[in-house]
Amino acid sequence: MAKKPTTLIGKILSPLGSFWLAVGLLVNLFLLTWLGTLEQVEKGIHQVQEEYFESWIVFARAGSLRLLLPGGYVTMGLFTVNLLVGGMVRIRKSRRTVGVIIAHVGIALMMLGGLVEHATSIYGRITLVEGQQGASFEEYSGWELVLWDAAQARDVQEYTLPESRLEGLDGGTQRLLESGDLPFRIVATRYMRNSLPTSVTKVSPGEAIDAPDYGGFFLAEQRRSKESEADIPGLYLRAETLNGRTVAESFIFGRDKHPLTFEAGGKNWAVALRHRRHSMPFGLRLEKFTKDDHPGMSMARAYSSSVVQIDEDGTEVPVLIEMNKPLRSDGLIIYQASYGPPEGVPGEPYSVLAVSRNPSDRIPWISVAVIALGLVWTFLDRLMLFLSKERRRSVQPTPVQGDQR
Amino acid sequence: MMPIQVLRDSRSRAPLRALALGAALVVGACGPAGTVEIDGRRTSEKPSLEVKLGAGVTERLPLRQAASAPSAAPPTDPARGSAPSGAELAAMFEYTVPDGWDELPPTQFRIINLRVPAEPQPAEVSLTMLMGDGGGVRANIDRWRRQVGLSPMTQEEFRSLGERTLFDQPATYVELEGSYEGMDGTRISNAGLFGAVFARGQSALFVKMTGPADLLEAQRSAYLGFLDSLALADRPPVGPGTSVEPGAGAPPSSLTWVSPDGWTEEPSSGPYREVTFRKGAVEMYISVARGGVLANVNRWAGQLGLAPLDQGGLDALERVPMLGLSATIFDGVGAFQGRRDPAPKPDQRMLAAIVESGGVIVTLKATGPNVDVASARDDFLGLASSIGAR
Repeated sequence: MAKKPTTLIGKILSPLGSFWLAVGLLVNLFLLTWLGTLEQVEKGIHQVQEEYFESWIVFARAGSLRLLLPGGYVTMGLFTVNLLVGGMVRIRKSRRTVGVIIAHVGIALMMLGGLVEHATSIYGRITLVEGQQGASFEEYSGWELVLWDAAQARDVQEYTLPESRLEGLDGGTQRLLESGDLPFRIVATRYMRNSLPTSVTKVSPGEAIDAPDYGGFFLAEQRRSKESEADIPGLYLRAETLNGRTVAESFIFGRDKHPLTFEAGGKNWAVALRHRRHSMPFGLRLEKFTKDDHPGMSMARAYSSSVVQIDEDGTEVPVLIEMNKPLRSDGLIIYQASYGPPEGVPGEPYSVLAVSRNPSDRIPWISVAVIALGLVWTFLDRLMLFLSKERRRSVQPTPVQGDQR
Repeated sequence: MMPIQVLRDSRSRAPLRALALGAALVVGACGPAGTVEIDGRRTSEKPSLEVKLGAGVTERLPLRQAASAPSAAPPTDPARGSAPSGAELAAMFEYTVPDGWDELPPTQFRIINLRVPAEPQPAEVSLTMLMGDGGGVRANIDRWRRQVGLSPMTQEEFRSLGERTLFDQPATYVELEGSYEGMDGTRISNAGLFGAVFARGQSALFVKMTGPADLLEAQRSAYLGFLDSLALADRPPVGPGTSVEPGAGAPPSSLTWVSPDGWTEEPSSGPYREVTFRKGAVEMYISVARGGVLANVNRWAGQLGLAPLDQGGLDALERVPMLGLSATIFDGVGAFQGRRDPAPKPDQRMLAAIVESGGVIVTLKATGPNVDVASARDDFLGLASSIGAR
C-alpha cells in the first residue's frame, strides 16, 4: 500500500515505516508484557512497570536466560515513528486508503493520550469529615519535602520540594536545597525511597550499618514495596545557616510524628516529609456521607458522598458522588473511594474521595471512536467496491461458447 | 455562607511542570550533587505535623519508646520468659554431654543445665531461650560483659565479634574474662565466660559457660564440642509448650512492622502468630497461615454471629495497603465466641486486615470490647500500613 521510495530520504524512512518493523515491535511488546507479567511473581507491579515499560532497554528474565530487549520507551517510540511514517506519511493517499489513514490517526491519538497520561497524570485522595471543606488533595505514592515556620499554627506558608529533586542521593554525595526566602539551607545527603528506622541494637554482630545513627536509630534502606504507596521514604539531612553553621543534623522519616526543628534567622523552623499535595481549582464540602450496609452486618454494600462543589467565586453546586459515578470538573475526576469510621465507632463520619488529574482522560474514548470510524469507512468502501464489481459482472453479457466472430 | 478559600500553588501548573522537567534534566545531566532551589510554595490551613520543638529522633519516630530505645530497658530477663517449663522445652533439643560433665535437671529458665565438676569452683553451662530477640544480641552480650566487670562494647568491638556455627547457621560467639557475678549472686574473682547467641525468627538462644578462667580454658574444646552437638529434636515439644516454636527451628520471621505507641508487645506465642500487642482489653496480633480471604472473613463473621458474605460482598469491603498489597478490612460487631470461650461475649468488635498471596494469608486482627477496639482503629491502621516483608 506504501509508495516505493525514490528519494534518499524516502529510502531511509522506508524501513522505519515498514510492515515488518511493526510486526517486530508487536512481538517485542508481547515479550515485554509476557515476561514482565511472569516477573511479577518476584517483584511488584510498579517495579516491573518501571523496568519493562518505563525504560530504554530491559534485561528480561526468561527462566534461566537473560534477554536484552528494547524497553517500553524504545518500543513505543519506534512504534510511533512506524505509525507516522508507514501509516500516515508514506501510505498511498487515495479514496481507497482514507479509512486506513483515519484508523492510524486514531491509534496515534491513543498513543498520544497514553504519553500525556504518563507525563502529567496525578492520583491522590482527599478526606473530608461531614461539614468539612477542602481544596487540595495528596498523592497516594508521591512525596515531598516541606519546610515551614514552626511558630505558624494557621495559614501556614510552606516551602516544598518534590521527591524527584532528592532522588539519586545515595550517601556518597550531597545536594544543597536552598531558597532566597529562607535564612538557612538544607544539605541533603541521602534519600531512601523506602526506609525503616532501626535501632542499632537490632543489628547483628558483624553486620555493617551503612548510615549514621542518631539517638540510637538509623534508617535502613528497604526494597521497594510491591505497591508503591506502601513505601515510606527517609532523608538524611543537615540544616545550616547561610554562614555555614550547622543547626541540625539528623534524618527524617515519612511517618514521623513530629517534624525535625531547628533555629535559624531568629525563628524556629520545621522540616518533614509528607505525601505530595496539590491544590484543586475548586473546593469541596462534604454535606453527608451515606452508607448502605449488607443485611445484619456493619459492612458497606454501597456508599456515596453528598458534596457541594464551591468555585472560586463562591458559587456552590450540590453534587452526589457515588461508586462508579465520579464528579468530573476542571480536569479532575473525583471518585468515592473509602469512608469511616465504621458503624458504632466513636468519631464523625468521613469520606475518602480519590482524585485524579488526567488531561487525557477522554482520549481513549475519542481515539476508539476515530479508529472505529476508519474501520467502518474501510469496510463500507470495500463493500461498495465489491458490490460495484458484482453489479458490473451481472450486467456484462456472458460470452457464448463457440461464438468466435 | 462564607465562600471557601481556595488554596492554590503560587504558580500555574504548566510552568511548574516545565520547571520541574528542566530541573530534572539539569540534575540528571549534572549528577546527584549540586544545588536545588526550593521553589514550591503552598499555604495550608494548619501545619502538616504537630510541632514539638527540639524533639529528638525517638520522640519523632512512631516507635515504642521504652522497648525500642537502646538504653531504655534492660534485656529481657528469663523470669519474664515463656510459659512452658524448661523440661518441656528441653525436649526440643538433642545434644551430647561431654565426658566428665554432669547433666542437671532443667529449671524454669535453663532448658539445658550442665555442670563441669571441679574444686574449689565448678563451671556451669546453660542453654536458655527468650522470646523475640531477647532484647537484642548487643544488649545481651553487654549484659554478660557487665557480669564480668567489663564496660559495654564500642561499635567497633560489636562489629568485630566472633562467629560460630550453631544449628548449621552463624551465631555470635564471645569469650570474656573478669570478675564474674552471676544473676544468682555467684562471685568468681578470676572468671571466664564463653557465650554463644543465636537469634532467629521468634526466639533467641543463649548458650553460656561460666566458671574459673583456668577451668574454662581447659574445657574450651569440650564446650565447643557441646555447641557443635546441639541440634533440634525431630519430636515436637510436649505438653503446654507445644505452641512455642524455637527460633532455631523456625524459619526467620518474614515480616517487619513498626510497633504502635502505648501497646505492650509480646513475642510469638504460637506457630502462627508473629507478634501480639495488648492495650487494656484489646488484643491485636499479626499472624501468618494458609487459607483464603473469604473463608476467613466468613469464619470471623460466624464467630460474631453475623451472616456470611459472598464474593461480591467481600469485594465491596474497605481496603488498606498492607505488605505492599491491598488488604481487605473486616469490621464486625456482635456476640463473640472463640474456640475457648464457653459462652458468647456480647458487644464485641473484631477489626481485621487480611491479605492473601500465593495461598498464604497474613492477618492483622484486633479483638475486644466494641468501644475499645473502635478507639484503637488508628493504631490498627498504622500498624497495618507498617507491615512489610523482609
